[in-house]
Amino acid sequence: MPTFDDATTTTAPVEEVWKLLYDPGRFPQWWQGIETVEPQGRDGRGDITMYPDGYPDFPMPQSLRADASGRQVTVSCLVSDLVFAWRLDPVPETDGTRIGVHVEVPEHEAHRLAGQQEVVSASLRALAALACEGDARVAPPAPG
Amino acid sequence: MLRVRLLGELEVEVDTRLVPAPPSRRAWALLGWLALHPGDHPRGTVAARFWPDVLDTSARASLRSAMWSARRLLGRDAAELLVATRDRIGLRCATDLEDFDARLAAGELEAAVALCRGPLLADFDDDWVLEARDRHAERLAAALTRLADQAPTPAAAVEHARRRLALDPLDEAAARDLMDRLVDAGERAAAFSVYDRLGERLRTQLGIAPSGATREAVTRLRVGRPPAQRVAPAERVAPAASWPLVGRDAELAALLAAAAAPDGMLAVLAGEGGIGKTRLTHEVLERAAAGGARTAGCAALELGGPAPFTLWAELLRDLAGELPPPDPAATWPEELAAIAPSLPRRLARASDGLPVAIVPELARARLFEAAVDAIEHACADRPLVLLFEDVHLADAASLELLAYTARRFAGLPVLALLTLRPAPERPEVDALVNTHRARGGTLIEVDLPPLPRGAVDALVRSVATLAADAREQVIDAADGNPLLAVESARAAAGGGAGPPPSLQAVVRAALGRLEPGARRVAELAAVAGRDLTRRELGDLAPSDDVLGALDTGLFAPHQEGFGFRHALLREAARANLPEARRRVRHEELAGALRGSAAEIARHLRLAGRDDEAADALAGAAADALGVGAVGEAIAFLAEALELRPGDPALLLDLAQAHAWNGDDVAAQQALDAALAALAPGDHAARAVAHVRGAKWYSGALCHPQRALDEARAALRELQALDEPDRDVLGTALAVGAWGAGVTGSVQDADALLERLDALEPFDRELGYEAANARAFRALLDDDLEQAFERFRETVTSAQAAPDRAYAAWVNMACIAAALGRLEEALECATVADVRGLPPLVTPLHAIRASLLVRLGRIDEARAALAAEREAAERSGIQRLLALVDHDEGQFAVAVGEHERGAALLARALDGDAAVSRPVARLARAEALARADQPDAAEAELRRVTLEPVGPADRPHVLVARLTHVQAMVALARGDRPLAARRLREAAAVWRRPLSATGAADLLANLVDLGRPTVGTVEPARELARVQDDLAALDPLRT
Repeated sequence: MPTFDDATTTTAPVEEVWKLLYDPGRFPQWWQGIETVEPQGRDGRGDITMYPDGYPDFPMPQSLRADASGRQVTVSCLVSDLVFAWRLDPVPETDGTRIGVHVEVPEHEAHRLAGQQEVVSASLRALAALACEGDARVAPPAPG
Repeated sequence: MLRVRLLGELEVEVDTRLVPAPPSRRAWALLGWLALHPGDHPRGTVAARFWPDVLDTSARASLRSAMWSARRLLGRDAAELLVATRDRIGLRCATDLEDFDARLAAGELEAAVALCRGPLLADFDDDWVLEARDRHAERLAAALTRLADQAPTPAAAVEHARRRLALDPLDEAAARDLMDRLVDAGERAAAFSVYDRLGERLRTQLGIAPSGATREAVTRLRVGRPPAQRVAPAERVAPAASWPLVGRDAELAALLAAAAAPDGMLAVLAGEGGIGKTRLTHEVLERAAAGGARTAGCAALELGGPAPFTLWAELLRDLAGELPPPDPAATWPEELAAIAPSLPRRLARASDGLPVAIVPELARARLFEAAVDAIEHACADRPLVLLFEDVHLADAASLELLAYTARRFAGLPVLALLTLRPAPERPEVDALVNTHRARGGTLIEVDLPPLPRGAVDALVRSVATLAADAREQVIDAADGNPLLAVESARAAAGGGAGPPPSLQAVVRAALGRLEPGARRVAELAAVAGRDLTRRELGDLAPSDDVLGALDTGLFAPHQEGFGFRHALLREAARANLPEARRRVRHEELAGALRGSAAEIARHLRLAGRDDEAADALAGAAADALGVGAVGEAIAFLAEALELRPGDPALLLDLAQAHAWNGDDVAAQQALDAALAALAPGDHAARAVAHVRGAKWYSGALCHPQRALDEARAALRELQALDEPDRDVLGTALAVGAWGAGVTGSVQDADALLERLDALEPFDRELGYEAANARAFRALLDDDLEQAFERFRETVTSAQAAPDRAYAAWVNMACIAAALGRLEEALECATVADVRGLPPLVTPLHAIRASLLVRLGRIDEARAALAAEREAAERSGIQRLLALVDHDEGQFAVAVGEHERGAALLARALDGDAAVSRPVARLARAEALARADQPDAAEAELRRVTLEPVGPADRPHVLVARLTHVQAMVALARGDRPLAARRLREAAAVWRRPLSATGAADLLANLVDLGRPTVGTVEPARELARVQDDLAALDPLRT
């Protein structure tokens, strides 16, 4: 099974990245190619349902799981069998966060490997940037 | 000066003035009893001893009246002689019995015997007198025997021997002794008369014939042969029980004081084998019993691998005969029948049926509570002394139960007296003692040292009359060990050249003289590992053989049975037996004993009958599961599988035990192995195996997907059968439907339920499973009303099983709460009858507390939490205590007790409470922030992000709550703009649709945590809290 890993570092503290990873309602703000997310599964499957950009009639139920050690959120697509494991590690020197992602691509989707690498890399950096916006140390006061 | 003479009719002398016996027999008897039992005694104990059949108040009034009469007899110094405080009474006097003991110890036999004017307290026939009289008679007999040995002429020896026989005309050893001495004195005809009278007495009074030893003696007499052994050890030394306790005055006093204390305690008596633990503890029990206490004892089995609660089974049997009838409404006799099946019968209960079967964890809780009830009953009217001998060999479950009951000793007049040897080490015993101490329980620890030389000398003199050099040799060889001293002295008195080098030599010599039948009895007793009961003995050997074995003096017959006088003697006898003979004896015992399956298994293994042992071990495992001893059950089954590898039935039982132990990996491995061992075409057996697996996964292991998988596998096997078993099919369908419902497989659940409908009507078992499956199916539809009604059906089906009743009522309570019907939810949590079992009572109180908080009934909630803590502490189960910390912590945070809340939640998290850890950490972080500890709060928030998150943690609400707490941290730091921004951010999350419905919340929590959710998340309520904080921050803008 093809797999790949990617990672980046953000100055935002773990809490800010964590809030984005655990709030599927905000996935469209950083996950490239996702237009909307419904907060439940579909036909009794999955925990949330994601809809790709431009495909409002193509529901993709996903299961969300955290591993026993914490720090890692796994999003498994129940349609394509793609698995995204997002991992957070505090960076004590900067009080920032290292965000890592491990992606498993099923054999029958192997032709999408390069495309997925690109999407995931962009999403990773968008996630880091969005987390910085929530960082109280750098973010401007939110408008009332 | 008050002198009381007990050795004959009671005589009381004050300053040499003989006090006349008064008209009041009670006052007279009271003086006799107090003189016989030196020291001070609780009034209640004495009153209960003399007036046992009346109310305590009446008994105490009668005691006061008797004391008034007694004081009048004693004259002007009465207050100093008959001492009475508010609680205790005692007599300050000297007695002839004390003189007797002292003279005996000093070897002044003539003087000691001269003190005996007649039977002890000859003018009384109360039970307490008879017991004391027998003990004294035995000691007097020993002294007379020694005097006969030392008599200057045969005629003088005959007189001493006659007097000895007069003490107990049924004493065969005394009769043989007299016969021998009459022959020595040239009176053969008189010797035959002694035999004839003895035979007549034995026939008419006991219905038995003289023993082999006596018949042999008279045969020798007829043929004119001299006695085969002129001096038989057992006949020339004091009977075992009559040896004085020497050199242990301080220990005895301490233990007697503990036995009379109003508050319960644990006493641990440690020392090498033979150092005198048994002698001392038996003295304590005898004296405590004479003082009015209720006593019972038990000893660990020596064979290893005992059934769980073996000690308690023996203790309860012993105690049963001493107990007054329990309240007819009490359930503890029936509950304890799980470990002592004869208990209800012994207590004359109408029903001896076992309680309804429940899962092991609850079986254990129920058993433990029943044991506490039994102890409370046993000490309700008098002190209770319980002896646990040789706890270094005890089974772990017995020690656990002892630790549990000891936690409840406070305020009860109970002494648990434990004896142990330093080896083998038992960490469980150390843990028991340390825990008891740590919990503030009262504890006495006594290490028995070797006896000083002077004490050994006194002991040897009291046992046998030896020449000075022989006595010195015995004392040297004993090296302070009283058992060795006694046995060496007995052997030396038997004519040995010197003291035997070891106990083994003593025992070998004694048993070597026995007839084959009697030797067989001794060998059976040696390998039995415990005393044999009278019934077992009756099945194993004729009474003549038993009497023959008794002649060795190595055994101690008692009311319940027969065994070696000391465990070391039994060990020595066993060590002397050749291996082949041992195996034969073990096989005989396996066929005759009425013990537990575990004990039978042990004998079968030692007999080399491994295949039969495997069956017995399976039975032992089933017994263990019945009393909640899962670990022991696993050990029994693992051992059985060593004897019969790959046996599918054993493997299935093992899988079940692992499942009940919460070990899903081991359970699955054993289940797979069982299935691999079953033939592919054996569809019926394979279906049963899969259904059993499905039930574990729907219950103890709570893994809905696997339950569904196993149920499907069972259904596939059943398809291959023309007429599948209806119960197996129904269970597979019901459990499968449950699994499908919980995992969200709607179509599967519906299909299975449709097939299940066709099997109606159901029996109770299947009715419960079916209603449960339908309830969860309704939850999947978010139809809480329907689910509520289905769970109501499970209440009816649950019947008397407390775990099912709990599940049914709690599910109803949770759904009623989710529907907003809080009063109804409270009612459900209140009426659930779970028999007071802590693992079930504790969460019920927690649910009530949670509901009461939401109803604004804070004081009642606080009381419910106190009840929850009390139930958890009663159980001593750490995970329950951690849950209570969590519940109290959440409550404290809710009512504004922030620092206390933070501390309790920290303890709950440290204690690994089975709760949502991120939610608990968030509550703690909020408490810290509101308590003006922003740095600590922030650190706690960081920990939230490092916790694993599952569905039961409600991940959809964690983000909003974490953001809310971030606002509280900012506020605590005075950063009001940031606080406002965080609050608005939190409000925005709460306004979005949540990702899980109320029913899904309930499902997730039940499945992941096994803990009910009282009500679901209420976004509107949470949003209102955020807005309240925002308004407080910026009242003008909101």
